[in-house]
Amino acid sequence: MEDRELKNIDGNVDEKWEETLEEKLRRSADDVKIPVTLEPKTVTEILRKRRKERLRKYAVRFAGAAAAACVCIAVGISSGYLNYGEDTEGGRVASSETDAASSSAAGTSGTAGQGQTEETGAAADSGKIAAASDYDEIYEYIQEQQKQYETQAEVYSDGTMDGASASSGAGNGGAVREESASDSAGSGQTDTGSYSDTNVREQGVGEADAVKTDGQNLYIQNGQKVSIVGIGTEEMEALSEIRLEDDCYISEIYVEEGKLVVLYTRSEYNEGDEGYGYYTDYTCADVYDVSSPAEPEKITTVSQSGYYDTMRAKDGYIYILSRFYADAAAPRSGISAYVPEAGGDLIAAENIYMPQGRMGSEYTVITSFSLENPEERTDSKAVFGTGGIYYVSSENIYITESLYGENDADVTQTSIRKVSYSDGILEGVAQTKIDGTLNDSFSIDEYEGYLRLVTTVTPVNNNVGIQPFYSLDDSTSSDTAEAVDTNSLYVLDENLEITGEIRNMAPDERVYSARFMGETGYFVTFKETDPLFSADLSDPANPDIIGSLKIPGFSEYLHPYGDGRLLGIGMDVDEEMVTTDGVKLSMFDISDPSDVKELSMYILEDTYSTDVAYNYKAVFVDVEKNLFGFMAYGNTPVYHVFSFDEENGFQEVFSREMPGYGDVRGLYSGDRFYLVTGNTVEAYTLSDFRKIDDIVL
Amino acid sequence: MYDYENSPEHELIRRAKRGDAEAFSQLYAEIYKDLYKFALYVTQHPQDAEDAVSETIISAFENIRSLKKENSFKSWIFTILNHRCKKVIRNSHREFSISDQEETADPEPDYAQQHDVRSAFNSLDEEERMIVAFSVFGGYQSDEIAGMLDRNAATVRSRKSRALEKMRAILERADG
Repeated sequence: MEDRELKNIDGNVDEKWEETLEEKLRRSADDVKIPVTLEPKTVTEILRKRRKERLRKYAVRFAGAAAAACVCIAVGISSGYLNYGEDTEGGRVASSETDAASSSAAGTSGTAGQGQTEETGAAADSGKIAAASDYDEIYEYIQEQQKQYETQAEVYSDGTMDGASASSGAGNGGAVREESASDSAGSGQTDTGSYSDTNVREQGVGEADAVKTDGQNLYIQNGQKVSIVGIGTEEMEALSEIRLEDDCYISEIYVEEGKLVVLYTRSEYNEGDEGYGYYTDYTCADVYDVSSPAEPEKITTVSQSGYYDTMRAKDGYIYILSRFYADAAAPRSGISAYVPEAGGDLIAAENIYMPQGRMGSEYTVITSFSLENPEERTDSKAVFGTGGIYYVSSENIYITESLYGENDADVTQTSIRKVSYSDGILEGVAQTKIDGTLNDSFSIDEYEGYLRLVTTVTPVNNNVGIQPFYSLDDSTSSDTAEAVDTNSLYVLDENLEITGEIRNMAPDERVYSARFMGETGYFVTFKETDPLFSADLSDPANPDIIGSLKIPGFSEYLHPYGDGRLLGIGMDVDEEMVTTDGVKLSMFDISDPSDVKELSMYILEDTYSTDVAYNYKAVFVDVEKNLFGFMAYGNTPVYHVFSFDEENGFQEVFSREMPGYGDVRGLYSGDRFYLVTGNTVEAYTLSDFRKIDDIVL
Repeated sequence: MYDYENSPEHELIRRAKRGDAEAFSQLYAEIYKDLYKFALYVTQHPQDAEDAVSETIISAFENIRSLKKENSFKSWIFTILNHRCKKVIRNSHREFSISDQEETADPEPDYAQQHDVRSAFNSLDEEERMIVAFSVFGGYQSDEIAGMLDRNAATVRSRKSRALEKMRAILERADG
């Protein structure tokens, strides 16, 4: 008997019996079976899905009276009235009165005298984006933010939130979700026609990824290394590798015109007080000359404060976005703890754009340089305030943040801050707020100077202030039983004034995916069925819903697929609307946007998820070659490639079970298709997907 | 291709703070078995334990930005879990009253084979269970447990001794 052992030990060594007893207790749990729902893999999936369902029931940052006293001011487009309006009701009144068909500016722009509303929770407050007058001003904002965090901590002293910054990151997961390009993405380089590029959000604006190709080589981020693989012949050849220091964490790489840019975050450890050290992050871009790929030559390192978030490339210039957290505990004199640096120098106050509220704790830092002359930084700006989803059009960088009941607003909102870019020069243009939050970066789109957005507007219960999640199942919210989500569409002009809007669409549903294509916008909302809405946006003052197609399931990603065709990748849902039946592909006929039809569909049986909804860069799409590929998860992860044919619908042309759950990229160059995961590359013929080579790096 | 498995904790935390579910799961993967065992032993019921851990995951993921740099992920999430367990126990009405309950059947028959040491453990009151479970499944010392429970270290130390003493007495009685 085990107990005898215990007693024996106990009898002999009195000190030991406690440990022995604990050990026995520990061993008694050895056979405990962990529920499948708690396995890390399952948890990853749940958390990813959750990012779709974000906010609900979740109002974190709230409203201090302090904030009501506010800032920023705003200059209307046409005239410059200064209206520190008490008319905080303006937006709300308008919003409650409008319904699905009405347009025209609610509350703000269109109405005289309200071109600028101030901070207090009006539906929108547009305004000029203002630079800091000095570092002291910034310091005050940070302290103000800190005070608010502390107030929150008291309110919710359950211990789970621990006060600090439970805020916005919570709602949007801090997550920048980036998403992909318009028309024939995959062939941003169609002119050369010979190789595929990363599926990007905005056509003509380059993005970094884990794998890049220039048609001659593959550049692969592989752990702490970047491997360069020659693909000039059928037999792949490992040409060289670049290894980073241990304190550098590679995020992505970018290749253009014989230059390789390695983007990473470097952490510097600082000995703090009382033995609590802390890390300071720097985002770095190492630029290499790879004209001889077997011997990459480093040209320079461009650095800035904060951890790497994303980058864009346009007209030979690289734009790097990082996030920097201000240290609220820093003394006023410790400027570098709360003001970001670029290239080793503090960013001047005049280059720091201040947030709409009177407080903040983090920045988006943007630095630009030309690939031709990377040694010289072209420009740096810091946008003070939390960043969420970034969207970069061909002319502007939009930094958005989801707001959950800030300043007494009774619905979720999105702040939008616009910084223009051209040949490396950055300039703050405007900022505003609208009701509702974005699903991802496809929900915001610029076209001919107008910004179009589709948002889901969620009521916020300000009496409670903070409503942490209590359950994984948040499909219904008992707290806001009578108040349901609605969806809104906005058209904003260059100064971010609303020119037209549609509110209260699809009550109790949420936006799952969106795609704006020129003068038409498509978006999918979902609760029970999947209405694919089409909106006519040709008149910015009068956006109009012209069609809605209801089909089972929902699309999580939409991609233009040639003339009059729109590809949807999402999930099928059974008739009881309870479980998903599998990944679903839909081809929509959008040749008449007012009468959209589902031409064809295909279900991948026994799959439960794809990467598509979370990372558009994981999608391989080439419309001209009529191929698209992605990873789907079922019992095992499988990479699928499909083509589409008007007669026969979707055809699976290739599938490959993947060894693990790691990131996978499919791409082609010439007449070969490459599948890259981790340190392994497989080459196939593009014509019939016959395997021809593989290489382990 | 980011290498999650070989990434240092602070890098995973940074990524998790950006909403990277994969990074969060990697942090979680290191300790999830202990989290579940802790919850199972404290709540004494598999469904409650599962609920508590699920809620902890969500709460931790959504609030990871409040994790201060100097705090370890493990201690932080254990603290959250402990709060969740308390809530679950309050809601479930399955709470055992106190030490005179040692004759009560194990609430989870699957574990009958560990009847001895587990039923002795189950006879502890809620806070005793938490203290002992923190030690056994979290590997924490009394002063660390005190920090997590917001108690003073001496109190925790003596409560833990008494709890173990209680268990020993029960085991001896059962044995004799």
